[in-house]
Amino acid sequence: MADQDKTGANFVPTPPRDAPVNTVGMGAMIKKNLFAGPVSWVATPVLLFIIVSVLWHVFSWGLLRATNHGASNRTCHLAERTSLLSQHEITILMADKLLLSKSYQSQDQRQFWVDSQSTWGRFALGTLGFGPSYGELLTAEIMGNREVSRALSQRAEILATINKDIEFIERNPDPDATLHPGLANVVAGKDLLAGREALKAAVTAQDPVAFEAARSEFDDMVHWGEAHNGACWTVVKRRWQQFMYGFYPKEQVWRVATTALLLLLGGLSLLWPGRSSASRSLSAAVVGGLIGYTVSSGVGLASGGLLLALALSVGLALLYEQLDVGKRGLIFFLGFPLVAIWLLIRFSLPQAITLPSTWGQWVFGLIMMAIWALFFWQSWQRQTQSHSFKPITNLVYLAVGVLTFYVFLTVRVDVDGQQLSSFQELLGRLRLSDVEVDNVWGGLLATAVTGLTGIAVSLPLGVILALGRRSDLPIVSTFSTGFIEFVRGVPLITILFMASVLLPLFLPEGVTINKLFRALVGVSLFASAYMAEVIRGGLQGLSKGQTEGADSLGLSYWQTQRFIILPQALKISIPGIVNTFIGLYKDTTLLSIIGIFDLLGVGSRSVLPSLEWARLEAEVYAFIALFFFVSCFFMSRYSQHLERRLATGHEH
Amino acid sequence: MSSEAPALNDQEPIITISGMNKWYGNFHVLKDINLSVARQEKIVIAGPSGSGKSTLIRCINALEEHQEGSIVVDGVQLTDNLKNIEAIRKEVGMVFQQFNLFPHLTVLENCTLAPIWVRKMPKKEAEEIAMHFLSKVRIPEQASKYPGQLSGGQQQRVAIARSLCMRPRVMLFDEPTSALDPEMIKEVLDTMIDLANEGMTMLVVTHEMGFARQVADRVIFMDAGEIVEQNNPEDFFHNPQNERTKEFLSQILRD
Repeated sequence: MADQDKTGANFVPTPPRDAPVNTVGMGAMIKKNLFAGPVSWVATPVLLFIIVSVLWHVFSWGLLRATNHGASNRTCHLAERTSLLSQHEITILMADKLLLSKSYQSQDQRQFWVDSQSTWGRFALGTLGFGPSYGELLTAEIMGNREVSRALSQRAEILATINKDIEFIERNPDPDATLHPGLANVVAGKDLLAGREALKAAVTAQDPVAFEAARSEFDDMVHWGEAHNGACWTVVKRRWQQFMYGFYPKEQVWRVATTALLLLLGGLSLLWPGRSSASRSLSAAVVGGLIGYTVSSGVGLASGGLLLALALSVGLALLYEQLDVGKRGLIFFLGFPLVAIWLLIRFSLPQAITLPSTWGQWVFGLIMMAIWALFFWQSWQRQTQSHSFKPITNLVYLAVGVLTFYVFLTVRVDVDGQQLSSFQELLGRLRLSDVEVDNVWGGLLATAVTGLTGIAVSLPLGVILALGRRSDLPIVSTFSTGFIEFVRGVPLITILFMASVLLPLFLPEGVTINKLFRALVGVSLFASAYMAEVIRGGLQGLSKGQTEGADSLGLSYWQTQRFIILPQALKISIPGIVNTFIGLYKDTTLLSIIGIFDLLGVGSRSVLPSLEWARLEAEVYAFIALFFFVSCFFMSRYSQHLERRLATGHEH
Repeated sequence: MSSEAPALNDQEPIITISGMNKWYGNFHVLKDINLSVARQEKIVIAGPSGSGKSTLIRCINALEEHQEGSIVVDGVQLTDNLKNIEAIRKEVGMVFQQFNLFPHLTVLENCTLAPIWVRKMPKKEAEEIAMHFLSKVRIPEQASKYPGQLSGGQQQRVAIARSLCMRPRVMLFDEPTSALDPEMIKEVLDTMIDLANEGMTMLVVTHEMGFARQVADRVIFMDAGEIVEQNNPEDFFHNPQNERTKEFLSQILRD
């Protein structure tokens, strides 16, 4: 077939065949990329070994040998110290034993030492012989041994610390009563000294069996200590609340949790819209239920109020999920910030609202039922139109509706001797105190508020600045360019100091703006400047033809930007935008420098300086780092998902 | 389309360009252009590259601004006033060499965007019209695809349909087949011929002399920013008057 000739005949394409087996699949990939030549034959195993051993150390420290019980760092240190002390005791006794041995010259006695020494294997004396001058040699050797002298000098100190630890732990019992059995032994007063005396007696009596028994006690202690000298996550567990909420009043923390759940509800439905409607309804119902539960347990609603709150929140969440994307987005972006501020700072109903009378409740209840029925009817219509019957949705709708009505009108709660309806109870309980922001908000709350506000503000502001910079109008473009260049040319920390120190000086007397808000403005403006440049990059990536195409159709400037230019420019800029988001999110840790207790601030300025948690830098910083890593990794993965979702075939 | 125009204006030219000059900075691109286009007239503009023919038709819908002279489109004087510009753009459709479709929108959305937002048409009606014109350019089955999934010829036909959806009175074509593979040129030219036969006023910048012979009422030859010669296709191709025209024709009609 060398001289293939198809002229004359009709052209028939040759059917395709598979690629050669050794060029596709896992095996080929490994061979091609990991073991291609002599260099990679060496480099791959070496690098693999380094990676695996680093990972193993992290894994062993952070999980295998980690501790998370107890009430303070003493629990963790106790393991370490017990292990150390036991080691020292063994070393000292070894030395004692060898010193004593110089007077034993019989064959039996020597055999005993040889045997016990070989089983020990800890103390490197194997090279020493048992000659006549052995005693002198040994004494010099042992007393000059660094391990022995260190053991002798540190023993008393460690023992004293351990006793203090035990005393402290006994006075501050573990709230969860989950003290590790090994540690419990130590705490229960199993005397280390008694073990030592037993060992010493065995040495003097030259009793190998007793000696072994006594030594194994110490060995157990050493092993136990070595198995628990990893990370001390107790600090994260005990200070969890502070890491999450800063100094937000404990009994009001549910307000923060509710805000977070609302964010989750909006986030799930807006950021992850391409799911089946059953999955969307389910997640909305679950999050709605959690919101209802959090609020109820937060304000202390009893059975009737709890049911009402659950029904209301699940119902509202479902209704929200039923709306189309545009309406959901509008409600979320306008409503959520207001609700969040109201919830987090001033969660009290206006005084003008009084508890409604029975008549008022009936009217309100009927209106609510009417709205409910309307929504149900709409959903039903949609189902019949699209011929997709959704039994679960309908069932949930009916159940929620009936439950609301039932609870609303029938259940009565006894509050201070008054028979109140659930509705009255709900309203009554929603009168709560204001919460200060400065020096109260902190931890993840402060970090998330700053990060999310920065993200939410910097994107639209960045778009406006980017368009402004490219504008033909000289004043607009000069202002935008000047703003971007100035803000980008100044370190963020300078802007934060300006916001926290300089700005109050310019405000008229009596006017104060809280520090977090000032920092928020600073961070948002800073991120906007970066965002503007990222988006400008995207705008420049578009061909001039796009604008001309839109112009030729008669679209106005803003229509062109809104429908043609920005959707494409933003899509191109997704990697850069997310890069800026991640940078901004991590930069919120600078807030701790101007005195705001963000996640890092709580760790470094509140937790670590306290005596209870001293020396746990590694754990605290590892936790904070892990937290940031997980959230940034999520953002990065989401952006990649978004890029795939928005891809529309070959771009020009 | 022409039936929508008031009967009074039927005799008047739809485009009148008089004494128009244009500079890019100090570079004089268009020199003293005078041109009037009658309703339903088809004009092909030819000339070497850099002669200003694209610039000329881009001035008509104000993608380029001119510095001197006047352009009147369907009774509206083209000025700096944004309102006038938008009014003229509504009536003048344009097809580009590089298609300039919107890659993030489906074919149907490309066609309905301007009618919905500029003509304030209800979505349903806009979609019906879009499907009508997509059928006319013979690709209704591609309506829900993205431009990136279509061939060059198909994209250019979508671009024609997109312009037609605005119901323009004049169509400008700026080298519509120059970016296409040879096999696809014919499908686009056929679409344009159909359009011409329906009576659309067309100004076409092209090197396709076959199209000019078949469709044009008048062929204009431009060089160095000036209209060198204009005539009906018969005389233009067989009996060119100007030496420059003869030279140009001998270059492009060699085979």
